[in-house]
Amino acid sequence: MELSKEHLIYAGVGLFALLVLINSTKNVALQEVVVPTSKSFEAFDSSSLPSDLQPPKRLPDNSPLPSTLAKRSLNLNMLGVMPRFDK
Amino acid sequence: MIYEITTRYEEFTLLIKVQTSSPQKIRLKVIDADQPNTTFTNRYKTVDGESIFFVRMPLSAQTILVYVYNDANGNLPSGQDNTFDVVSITKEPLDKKLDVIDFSNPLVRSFVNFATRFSYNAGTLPSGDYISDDGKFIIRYSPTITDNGVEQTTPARIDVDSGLIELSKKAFQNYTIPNRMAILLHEFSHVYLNANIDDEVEADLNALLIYLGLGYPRIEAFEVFAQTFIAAPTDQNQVRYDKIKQFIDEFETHNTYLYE
Repeated sequence: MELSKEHLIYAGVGLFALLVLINSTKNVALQEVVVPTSKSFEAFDSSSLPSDLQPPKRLPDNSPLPSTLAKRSLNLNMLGVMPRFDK
Repeated sequence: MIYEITTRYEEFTLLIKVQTSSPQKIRLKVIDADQPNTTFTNRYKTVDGESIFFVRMPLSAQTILVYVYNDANGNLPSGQDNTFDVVSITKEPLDKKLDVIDFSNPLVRSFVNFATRFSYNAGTLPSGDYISDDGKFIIRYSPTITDNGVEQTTPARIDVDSGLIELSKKAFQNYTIPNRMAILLHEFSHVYLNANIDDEVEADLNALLIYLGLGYPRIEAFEVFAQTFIAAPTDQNQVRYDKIKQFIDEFETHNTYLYE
């Protein structure tokens, strides 16, 4: 039987789907540690983190609030409102 | 038992299969191997037979440590605790629902980025004021939250006038990363998403929509709200808890995102 170009495309797509399925679930080798082997907490340096996990910028102490903060248009009903997580 | 896994900051769902021969309270903790006070989950389940812990991890570290132990016996190396076995640990793709989050809103984009970075690092950050890259949001990370010198029970609050979010470092350091995200998104929702700025339930549900859409674990959201409500057991907080539970159940089963 002669393989047509169409058959090859279907076979390629099928193989790709199979590889995606196989690679989506990975068993992790159970590597038990008694004392963690990675570097100690004292040596931690946040500059090694990827950019989307870097700590946010800290303002100098006693800085005024910046004027760039996002504001919501206020109305009279909001006067004195200060929502807190536990109430 | 402690298992070390290299995760290279990937996102995934971790499946830890545990087996017992009788009901045992099995504790699971997943922490960053390198960064102090950085916990991805800390939960327990009473296991009788075989059971799987599902840990959704939209954030991970370069290396994580997975602690599995019987709460009654404490953390012992394998061979010293025959009350349970860790059968396998598996990584699977993370199920996220980003389409439910309004990322067309630049404030949502900016705050999610800011809150993620703050939550991941809160265990190591010193007290002070932290600002988002675009200067739109600010978090005042104080040792505790006080009013007239009196320590407040709340871990967080927001000033609706300035948008300043105040956080208690004392409370925040002990929270998991998902706990921190849930609280920050709640405060953000009050001012920037709510129709009624003072409505706690609306803020809870607006926050949960983003939180769950990002793929954070359901159990950690329940936990942080429950802890807070236990400390402040008001009628309103009972209503909040019921609404949160219903919302999470419907998000999972029916993909219902609307609320009253």
